[in-house]
Amino acid sequence: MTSWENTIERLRRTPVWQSLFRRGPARTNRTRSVAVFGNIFLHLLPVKVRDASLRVRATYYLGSITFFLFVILTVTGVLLMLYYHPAVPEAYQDMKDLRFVVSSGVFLRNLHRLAAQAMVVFVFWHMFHVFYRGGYKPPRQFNWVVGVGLLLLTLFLSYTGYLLPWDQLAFWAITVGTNIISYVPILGQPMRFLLLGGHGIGENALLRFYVLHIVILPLFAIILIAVHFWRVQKDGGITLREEHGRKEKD
Amino acid sequence: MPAEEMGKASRKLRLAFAISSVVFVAVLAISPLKDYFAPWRQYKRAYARFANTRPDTKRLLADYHSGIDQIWIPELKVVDRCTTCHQGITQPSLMDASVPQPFRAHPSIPHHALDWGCVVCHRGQGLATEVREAHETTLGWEQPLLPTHFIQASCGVCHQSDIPETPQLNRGRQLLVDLNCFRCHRMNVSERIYVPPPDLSNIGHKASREWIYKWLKEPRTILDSDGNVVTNGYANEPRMPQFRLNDAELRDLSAFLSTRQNEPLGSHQIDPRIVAAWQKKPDVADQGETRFRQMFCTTCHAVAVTRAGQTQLIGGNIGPELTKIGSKVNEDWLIAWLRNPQSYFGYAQMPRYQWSDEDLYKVSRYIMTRLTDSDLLSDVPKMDPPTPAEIQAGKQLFVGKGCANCHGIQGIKAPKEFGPDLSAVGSKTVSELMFGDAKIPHTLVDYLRSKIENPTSVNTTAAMPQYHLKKEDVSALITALLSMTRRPDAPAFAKLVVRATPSKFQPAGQFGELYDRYKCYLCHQFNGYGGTLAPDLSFEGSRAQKAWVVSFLKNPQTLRPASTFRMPQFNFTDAEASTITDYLEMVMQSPQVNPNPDNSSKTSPELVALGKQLYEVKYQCQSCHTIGATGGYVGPNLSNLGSWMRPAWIAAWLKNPQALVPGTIEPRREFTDQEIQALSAFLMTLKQTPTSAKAGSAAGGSR
Amino acid sequence: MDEKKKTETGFGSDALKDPRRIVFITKKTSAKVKGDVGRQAMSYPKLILREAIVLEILTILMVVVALFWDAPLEQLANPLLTPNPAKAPWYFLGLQELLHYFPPIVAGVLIPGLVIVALIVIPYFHVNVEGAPLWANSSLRRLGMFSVVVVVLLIFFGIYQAWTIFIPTLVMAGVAGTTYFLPGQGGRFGTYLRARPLSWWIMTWFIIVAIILTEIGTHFRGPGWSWVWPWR
Repeated sequence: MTSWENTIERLRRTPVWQSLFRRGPARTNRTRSVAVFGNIFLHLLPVKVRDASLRVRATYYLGSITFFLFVILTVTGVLLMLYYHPAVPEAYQDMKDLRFVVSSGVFLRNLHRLAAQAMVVFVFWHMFHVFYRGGYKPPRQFNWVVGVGLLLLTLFLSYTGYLLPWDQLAFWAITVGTNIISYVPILGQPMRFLLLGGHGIGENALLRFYVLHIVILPLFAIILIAVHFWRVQKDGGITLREEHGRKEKD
Repeated sequence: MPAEEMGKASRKLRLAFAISSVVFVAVLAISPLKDYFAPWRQYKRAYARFANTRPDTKRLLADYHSGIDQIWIPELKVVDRCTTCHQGITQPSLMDASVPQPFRAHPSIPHHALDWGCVVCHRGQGLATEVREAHETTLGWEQPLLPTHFIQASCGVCHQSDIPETPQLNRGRQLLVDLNCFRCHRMNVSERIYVPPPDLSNIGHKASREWIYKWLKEPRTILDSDGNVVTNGYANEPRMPQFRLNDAELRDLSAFLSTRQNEPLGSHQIDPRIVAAWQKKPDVADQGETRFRQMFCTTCHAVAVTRAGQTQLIGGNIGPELTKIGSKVNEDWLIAWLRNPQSYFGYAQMPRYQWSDEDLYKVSRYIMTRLTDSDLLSDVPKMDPPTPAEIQAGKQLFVGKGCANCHGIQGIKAPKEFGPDLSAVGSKTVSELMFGDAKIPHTLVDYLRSKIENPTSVNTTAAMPQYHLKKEDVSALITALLSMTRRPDAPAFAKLVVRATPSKFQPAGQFGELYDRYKCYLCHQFNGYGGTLAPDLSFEGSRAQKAWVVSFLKNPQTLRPASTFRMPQFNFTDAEASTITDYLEMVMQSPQVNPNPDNSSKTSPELVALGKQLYEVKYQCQSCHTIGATGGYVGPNLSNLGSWMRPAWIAAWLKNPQALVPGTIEPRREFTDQEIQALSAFLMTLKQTPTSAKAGSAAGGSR
Repeated sequence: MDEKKKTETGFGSDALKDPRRIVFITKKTSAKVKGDVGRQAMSYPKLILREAIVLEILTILMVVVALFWDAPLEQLANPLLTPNPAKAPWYFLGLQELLHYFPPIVAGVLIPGLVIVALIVIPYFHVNVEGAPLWANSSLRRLGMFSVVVVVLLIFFGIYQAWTIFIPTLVMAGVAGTTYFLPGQGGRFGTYLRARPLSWWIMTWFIIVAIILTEIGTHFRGPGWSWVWPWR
């Protein structure tokens, strides 16, 4: 045993460590199982997975990447909230401050924007991949529907975030988008009014989009993500290529 | 043990995790690092190094800190971070041109930079801490730095009336009025002397269809290779711009205009006896020319004169040039006009002279026979009498081409909002402008320049006519246009605006009638309103003696013989001269000068001798002023001062000339009261008999 | 008492007294009853480590790009100054491109609505769970139906002059039809295509059209939504 491992071992015996992690070192399959199902976050994952599903080509980690992008977005988003006022024209001033004054502010915003665009790409990619693997077929019907819900949530999250910088790009992109809503027969105008908090895009719309973007939509997304992960495990793991491949006739 | 094997992470996997973790942590550290090396921090460090090389290091670094500097004025919504890099902006010792930018101090101006911020004048992005973002047009900021050449535009944002520090802006504002820009474009122009373009309701009496055709085609001067005017009657650049009209349009418009004879011409007939008497005399035109010159028509009107092979324009530019006027106008019209210009159109600028029929006949003969050019209309195509169809088409063109916006014709309404609204053109962003195919940099300044120099360069279907302006006039126009900005959204800014004072001077009563008739304000200033050709008369009542004024009005040509521009001979009646003189004495008084001085009696030969000595020896006034035949030419001639000026004015003037005429170059000497008395006494002895008025005195040349 | 009656199916309800094992085997749950799941691995550490590496690499890539690419920020929003063209976020540009061709009610409501509904209901149509190829039985009837649907779609796109949809649709249908008429040709790619089920063809068509429309909306549309070449 090297001295490094000794140190780790000694650390593990301290009362603080033991109060944090009830289990010992994960050296047996039992303790490894406990490491997963004894952890509130990891227990959404299965304890055991098929060897085949660990192959890169099984998933290309598309789902994981989508989720991790959500994590990056949450972290950067919370930090950005520290500098942001959902008001006109303070919102735009804050963008300028982020760029010119806040330490690493421009980096935070870049990362948030980039991850948001990437998440839209990956959520689509993930969906198409799952579709081609036949992942929507029984018994995973419900999880597919949850996935469609997450797709829509991702789009709305990205879209509501689009308005927040309150620049020309934001304003007119949202104008174009919300105009589409008003084409819905009968309900169109009321829906647009509800979304914007008025007949035009103004401070009310900004506030609504802000609340949707930072509270309501992420809350739904987190719930659906948890259900999505949980159901992957409960529905028999990820869909492997062999599962729904064309079977040769007997 | 295969069961446990399924839980063992391979060495490779663990190594990959270790490597990616290290890179992960390293990458997260880049952004703070990048922040540390931000360009603005480097400028701050460079300034600290620079300050250490200067003798007054301590003062230069008194407010130095490592963070971002900003000028923050909440009520003006100013957040300017320019001083983060431009560190030395308020350091007087860094004014020198050898100080490297961005550390140089701001040149001294009436305002203090820290009270206003930078962007309010210089534009650019005050919030930015990056070089490109702060100065240039970028995706996030379309109001780039204003080129220093046009910086006076920023003065004009608040100072809506002209101030002496902004000649380029003032010139531009004058041009916006003179060139009639405001008649097509909506804009705020301050009230100033303005000659409206002629009303054309009766143009048919005045000029022929051929002349109108020629004029519309090319109002501009075009010189041939010998320098002769080949395309129109004027050697001066006319105010009328060139419209892009084809032959058919020219025919239609000239047909329409040449048939405008709304009202009959003034019915005055020259006494037939005079006509009969003078008609046959061969020198009638020569006599007319003499009269023309004696009346000083050239003070306002220029005439091209050829001397020794050199053609030269002689005369003023208040009225139109007259070199070829005889080929333009009908004689009946000319006589009616000369007698009473305002009967042709009410706002005519030309004064109404007191003509004798004899003079009128001679001068009109002179104009109609000598001021002509037989080649003027040689290239105008033959035209038949106007047809109703041509007239109708011409009427439509008159409105459609924008003629109606400048020229009135009874019964025709000018279209509203004919040209684009320019009241906030200075705030236009690049994305609001259409550059078309123009190969010019995409900035507002370049757009304006291109548009003014050639309206079709940025828009091939532009309705705007072609002006031919000097480079500096284009710059002046751009400056004036840039000064017309949207109101900043900070209400505090509204309070800063120095509004244009309604300065029009419009006296009432008898004097008011004369003032309007003789258009005194075209040349003279009255309480800040009026032209600058002749002396300011605001304080004339305090300055000049009554008798002198009367004699001057009756016979102005005895004064200022060396100047081309002289007061025309209006042929005032005695009653008119006395009305004017009384008004000047009663109203045009300076508050600084006591109108009823009691010390005028305090004169004695001793005092005069003392004054003469002070004048000649102690203060050497003769280095600028002339008495008799000796002295300098910088100041006015004082030979006749004793009959011209009032002693109280002279005393007040000697005490503080700038208090009476701000900006005069007369030096303010700290005379004692006794010296002033002595000098006044001496100066009041300077009198000329009318016969010796050869050298004359430069009336009011004190400006 | 009623409850008891309901459970009286001939077996006692007490499992300890009457242990029984009941298995229902139906066609639709066949996947669940496959016995062998193959070799397995413990999630901790094998899956967790891999996921952690993915997270780290993803973050590294994102951070590096974020350091050198700046998120766009234009001027302050100005309701009076409409950019030409005003574009939606890129993922809605396909939709905006549709609006250019079809009446708003069709492009803005009907088509996206149908797509979402279709995505939701796919799993509940138990059509072709096995993933049988489109032309599995070489049935003429199927070819007929396929042709009718394609022709109707083409007419629809043609009427609205939506050539950017018309052409990919025509090409896709052409390829799918060709695989019917040319069995056993085209090498490995031909074999691959012939093995694709109908759902594959529809999805691939949808993705291709969506990508083309989004790309056109992003890069090929200028003032007044007119066609521009991005390299000009």
